Amino acid sequence: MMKRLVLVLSVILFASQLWAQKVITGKVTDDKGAPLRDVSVTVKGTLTGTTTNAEGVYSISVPAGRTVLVYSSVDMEPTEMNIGSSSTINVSMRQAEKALEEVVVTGYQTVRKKDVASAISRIGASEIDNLAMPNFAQAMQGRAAGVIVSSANGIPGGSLSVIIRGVGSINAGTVPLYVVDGVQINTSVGSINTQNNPLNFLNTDDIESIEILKDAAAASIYGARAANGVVLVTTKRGKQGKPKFNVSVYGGKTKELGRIEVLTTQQWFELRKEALINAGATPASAHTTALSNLGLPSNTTQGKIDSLPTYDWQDAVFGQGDIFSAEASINGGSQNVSYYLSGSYQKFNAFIAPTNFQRGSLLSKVSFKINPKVTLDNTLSISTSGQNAPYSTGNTGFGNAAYAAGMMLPINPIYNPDGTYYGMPGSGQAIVGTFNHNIMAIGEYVNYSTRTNQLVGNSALTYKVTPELTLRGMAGIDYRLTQDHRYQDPRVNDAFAVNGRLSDQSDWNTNFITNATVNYNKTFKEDHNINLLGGIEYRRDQNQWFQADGQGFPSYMLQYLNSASTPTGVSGAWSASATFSQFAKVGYSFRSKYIFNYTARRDASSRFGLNNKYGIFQSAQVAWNAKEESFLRNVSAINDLKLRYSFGQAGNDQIGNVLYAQLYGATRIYGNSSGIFPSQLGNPDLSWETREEHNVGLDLTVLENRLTITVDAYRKLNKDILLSRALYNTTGFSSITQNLGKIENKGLELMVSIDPFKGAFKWRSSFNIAWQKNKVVELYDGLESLPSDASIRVGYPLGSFFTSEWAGVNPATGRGMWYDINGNITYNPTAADRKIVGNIYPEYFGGWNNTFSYKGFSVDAMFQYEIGRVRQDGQYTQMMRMAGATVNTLLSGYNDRWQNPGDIVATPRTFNGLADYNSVGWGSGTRYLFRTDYIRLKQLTVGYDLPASKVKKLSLDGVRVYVQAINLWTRSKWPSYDPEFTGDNFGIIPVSKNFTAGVQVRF
Amino acid sequence: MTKMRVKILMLSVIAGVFAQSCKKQLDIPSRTSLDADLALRTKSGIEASLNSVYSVLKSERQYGRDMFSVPDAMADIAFANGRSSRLLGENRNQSLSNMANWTTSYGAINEINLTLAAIGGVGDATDAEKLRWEGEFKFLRALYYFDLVKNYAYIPTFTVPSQDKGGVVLTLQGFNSAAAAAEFRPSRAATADVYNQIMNDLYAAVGLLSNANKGRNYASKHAALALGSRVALYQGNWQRADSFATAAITLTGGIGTMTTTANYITGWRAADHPEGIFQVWFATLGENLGVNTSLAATHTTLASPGAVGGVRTGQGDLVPNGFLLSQLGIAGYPVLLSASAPLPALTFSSDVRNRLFEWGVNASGHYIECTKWMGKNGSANWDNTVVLRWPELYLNRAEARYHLSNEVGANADLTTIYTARIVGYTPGAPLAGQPLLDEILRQRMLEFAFEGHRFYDLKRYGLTITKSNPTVTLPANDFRLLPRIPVGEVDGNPNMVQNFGY
Repeated sequence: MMKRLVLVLSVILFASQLWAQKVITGKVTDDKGAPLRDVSVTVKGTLTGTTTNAEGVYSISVPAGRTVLVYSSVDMEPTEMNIGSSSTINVSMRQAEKALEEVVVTGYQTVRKKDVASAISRIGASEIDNLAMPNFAQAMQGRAAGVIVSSANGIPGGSLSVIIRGVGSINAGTVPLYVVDGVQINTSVGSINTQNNPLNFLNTDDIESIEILKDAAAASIYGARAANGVVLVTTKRGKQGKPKFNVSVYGGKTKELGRIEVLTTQQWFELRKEALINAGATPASAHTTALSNLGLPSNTTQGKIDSLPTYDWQDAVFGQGDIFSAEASINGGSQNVSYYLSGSYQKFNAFIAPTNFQRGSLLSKVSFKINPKVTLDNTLSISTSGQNAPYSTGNTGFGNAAYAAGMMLPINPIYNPDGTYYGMPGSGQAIVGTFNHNIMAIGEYVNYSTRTNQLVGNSALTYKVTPELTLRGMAGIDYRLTQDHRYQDPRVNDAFAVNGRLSDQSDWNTNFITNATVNYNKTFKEDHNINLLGGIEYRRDQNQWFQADGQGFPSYMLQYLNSASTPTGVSGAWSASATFSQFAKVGYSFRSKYIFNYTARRDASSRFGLNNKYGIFQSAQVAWNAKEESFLRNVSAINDLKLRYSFGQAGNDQIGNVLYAQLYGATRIYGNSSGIFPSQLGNPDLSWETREEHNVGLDLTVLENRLTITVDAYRKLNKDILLSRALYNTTGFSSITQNLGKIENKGLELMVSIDPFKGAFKWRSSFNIAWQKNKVVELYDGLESLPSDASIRVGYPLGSFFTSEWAGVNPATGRGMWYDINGNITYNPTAADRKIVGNIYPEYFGGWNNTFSYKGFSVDAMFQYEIGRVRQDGQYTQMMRMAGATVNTLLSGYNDRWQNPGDIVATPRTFNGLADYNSVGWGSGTRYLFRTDYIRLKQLTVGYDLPASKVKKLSLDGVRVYVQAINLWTRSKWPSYDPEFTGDNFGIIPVSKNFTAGVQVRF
Repeated sequence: MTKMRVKILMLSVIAGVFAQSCKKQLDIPSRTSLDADLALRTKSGIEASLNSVYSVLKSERQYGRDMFSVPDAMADIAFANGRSSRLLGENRNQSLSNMANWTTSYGAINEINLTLAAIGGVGDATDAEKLRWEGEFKFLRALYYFDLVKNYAYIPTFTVPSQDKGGVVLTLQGFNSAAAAAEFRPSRAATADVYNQIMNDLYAAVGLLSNANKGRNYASKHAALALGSRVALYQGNWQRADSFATAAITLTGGIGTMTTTANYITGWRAADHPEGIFQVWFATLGENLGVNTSLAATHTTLASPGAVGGVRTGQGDLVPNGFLLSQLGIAGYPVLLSASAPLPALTFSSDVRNRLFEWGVNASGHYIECTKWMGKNGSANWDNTVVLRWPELYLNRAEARYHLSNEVGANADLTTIYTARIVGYTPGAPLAGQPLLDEILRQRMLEFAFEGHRFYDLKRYGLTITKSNPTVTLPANDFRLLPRIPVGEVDGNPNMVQNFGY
């Protein structure tokens, strides 16, 4: 079909050129004589052109008066040939010197890597292709020094925390700015159901490169949005030549990383009695109470007790998920048009049903050269994703399977003998214990689902006025509709009494961006290169949502609001913000040896007070390419050596939209009438938080390009922090937002790549590590700690724990003990006994990526690690209640509990109601703080590429088959399911292990 | 080519014009909130502000739950069974497990102060409306301050002078600027001054409001008199407690009436309790506090009376303890309160109040639960909260009369209660002296079980809180009797004094 089309087009082309005087044919080869296909051959000064075929042969008709043919191809030096009298011109093309031409996307422009003087990490397509991950931010994990990526939990397509070079803000957001093909993405989440990560719209395999602008100087061109760093994503584009197809399919399984052993029915019964007796009950009454807790009559015999069954709820809940992905893309182009079209479908089912993620996406990129000077680019990304949400994304709800699975009392059956669920409301059966919902039934019956439809696109017109001067105008949109459907089936506990409950929500995000830039790039007298950039930009974000709730459904088969008997609530809101900006850059390079860049941006934002609407952000960057110096040019031991220094400012505007204003809210209601109340005091002086950062960097390549080292050291200071300043509540308000305080981050980042073997057996290894230190430098009014959060203290890092220290178990009494501030034992630690212990951010972290290949075989192994991070393990805390409440508990605690005077153990005596006599709660202080230190084999891929000869016989370009494992191996001392999470680890679906196998065909 | 240039030029001009208009786009006011300058200029604004101040009473920290359930958990009549681990600390009188109505109360008080100052400037309202607003706001301010001071300070009738740090912060001026709020360094007013302010507001409300105003869901003269009698009782101003109670009892065209033994139970099953003088109204289903913290969910697992075999509807966290059950005249319950099927049969004395207590649904065992709230408004967890109820008038007056040495009057008021609560009541010998006072307090305990009175009755007489399960002996001079003032209120404020022991 395609061939026929080309033929027809060629005929038309030839017909129009019938009066042409001359037809030139020839063969294009590389410098070793191998034929080159898809080389563009054009007649200089015209639009006439063609491409070479697989044998490198071309044929072109040259209009009268034209004397030069131009040959160009990706990776090759452009070549020009004069047309003589011969009708055959054979050409040998030279490989382009790639290292020299390596480019980096820096924001509003692309520059030579040589000219970069700030800290930018780049992740290329080859590193992240075919990764079984629905979100590109996840793929960044461990691959960029100084960037912490952590999954909030194991919900496929769920939240990710991405923190670039430490946290500098207390109340303002810490999310980096994401820019996809020039469109700044709105990263607010619209779902009340689950985590629908706004970055899910893009299929990772459509990405050409991810550039992370880490230091304030690099990010400064993005001004007030850039203080948390900037992530620039560039998607793949069409390449000149015949259409190339790429089809890739993979599928596999996902399962839990681990389980935790809990008690049998008999063990729990014994432990429960012990808890009651320790709390003062007589053995006889404890026996009766423990029986009644298990739903058994007081006359139950010991024989009956010994034969009680134990049901494994964890086993029932932790199933097996599956993964499937299919995608196809086509790209190609002629002289004036290039295109890239890609479609994909992906499905990730979590190992705890019914949570999943499904996405269909389409990316269309067309670039059209209207004439040699004007190019129109159009990019359109459309995606729709559907997610079944868990009953809870992470809280202590009784119906939350991830939370409850280990705590259901084991005496409760899961199913009845006839296969129906046990203990459903209205059945006469009751599940005993605090966790009294059949979580398997909830998984099947409850329908919480979220649909996210997203469109991200832009059109740009580029006008190359002269080879040096380029004008560009761009308009883009990032549009997202999130629809939540929360149906609590009338058969489940939470909705039985009201015959089912439904909440429907729609949330629209419309984010419009447009900019116009001027770029001037010229080299004077061979030595002086200047690169000027100027631009204006406007962005407007708008969010609107509404929600309607109803209850009372005649049947569980009726699941929409029109069947609800009683409306229970409606709500909705609107909010918007806008910024208007001007920016400029001056770049100067002397013989590519000395690089100097200066940028400035002026932002005006609707979010800030009348008195401070405008802010200016500047950066200066210098670099020295020492390799270009004459004394180093001929030193073969050093292939590249560059020193960089930069200073920059960037702003943080991630706060609410109208915090400057004094407002009356209208969300209250009394007696069927609405109420208004003073909701916000407002601050007309409100302005951005500013980050100022110094960065020193070194890039070194030695040993015949086998060893590359990049080192960066930085010190950044966030000042005028956007702080929610606590007010005395007697004013009627709890806080106002003001610009107060300073926070410092210091760090060192190292990236080492080696290629020790470059022959038939190749090994490429890339290791990165980053150390970070954070400190609160100053608060306000001379305060040593924040009144609203005593853990935020001058001289200590953000994210610290500030609590009393656990002192273990008193061997004489079995009671838990704490240290007071003087190091003495206490049972009632007070506020004065708190001290700083541990921090939720790692001390150092990074990744280690290895690629081995031999002939067609390749192995990719990527390790990722985080050391020095401390978190509270909420799940563990709740599972260590040791029958002090009617929930199942951990076998490890049971085996290690205090029972008799003299026992030296870690777990205190069990106590009904959890807090021992005249003692603080059982989970107080540092008892449940643990280090999350882990190293894990994040990704292991074993692949085989069919040899070129075989592929050719099949008329294909390439065939690759592979198997992949994600999170295959983890080393950690974390006590509950998995150390990778954000928050308090309450009832989240843990991160899982994935195994997939795939095949990719190119033709 | 020139055509193309023209096109580009035109596009540039359009872009330039657009860029200029962008600057105007930077003013984006809220569409979901009102500009504070405009909010209170109209009648509808003031009415909406009034609704807001009432609505705060619905919150969990106020009459949504805490005002009733927390003090009763701390007192000597209840057992927190830990089914959902709620109210355990309160029940054990642990430090820091106490009332926490500071923040919500001062939010409402600030709004009252701001709106009271704005009423005069409203153009589209009649004088009568303005007077009514002022009366309602002052009643509400009295209620909020009373609920603050009775918790965060000693009650005037019993103080521990060495530990007494005064009353609460008294603000009568609203805050409407960030600068003033940031500079505010309040101090605690003397307890007596706070009570005087409360009574001033109540006197004003009595004078400004009509007898029944808009019924029991809103402030009225009747409600102001009833609240006044309680405030005076806490103040130890027996004369005033007597006169306010008498005025409320004899008010014509007031709200509600006493129930009798015949309609006592149906009174409690009705959405609007016929004895209610002032109640917090949960008008729509969506306003209920849900399955965890509504009053119904806190106190019972039952969906309806007798539904012991039915579906568990609430948590049933706070249940009567053995002491209360025996005082109510219930017998047959197990010592540990929890039982499994077959459930022991219970016997009930002739006091109808015990008929509101029955076996709940099995949830880690069955407990006898209080059924004063069980979704009376038509759906689970949905109940109004009656703040002021008729029998209190008689019990307040009986207590005041006792202190005024009018034992005959006190006995007469007790007889009114007995007659309304005990089937076939036959008067016995009148009580005198301490036994009379003890009986008045005992009747308050039985009448208002789980309605948030008992803890303060013990507190204002300096009585030790004694419980056997959990084992607690809390003398009246223990620091845990008073809550900690939120730490953030004291930090950085040299004028503010924390309560003793924290």
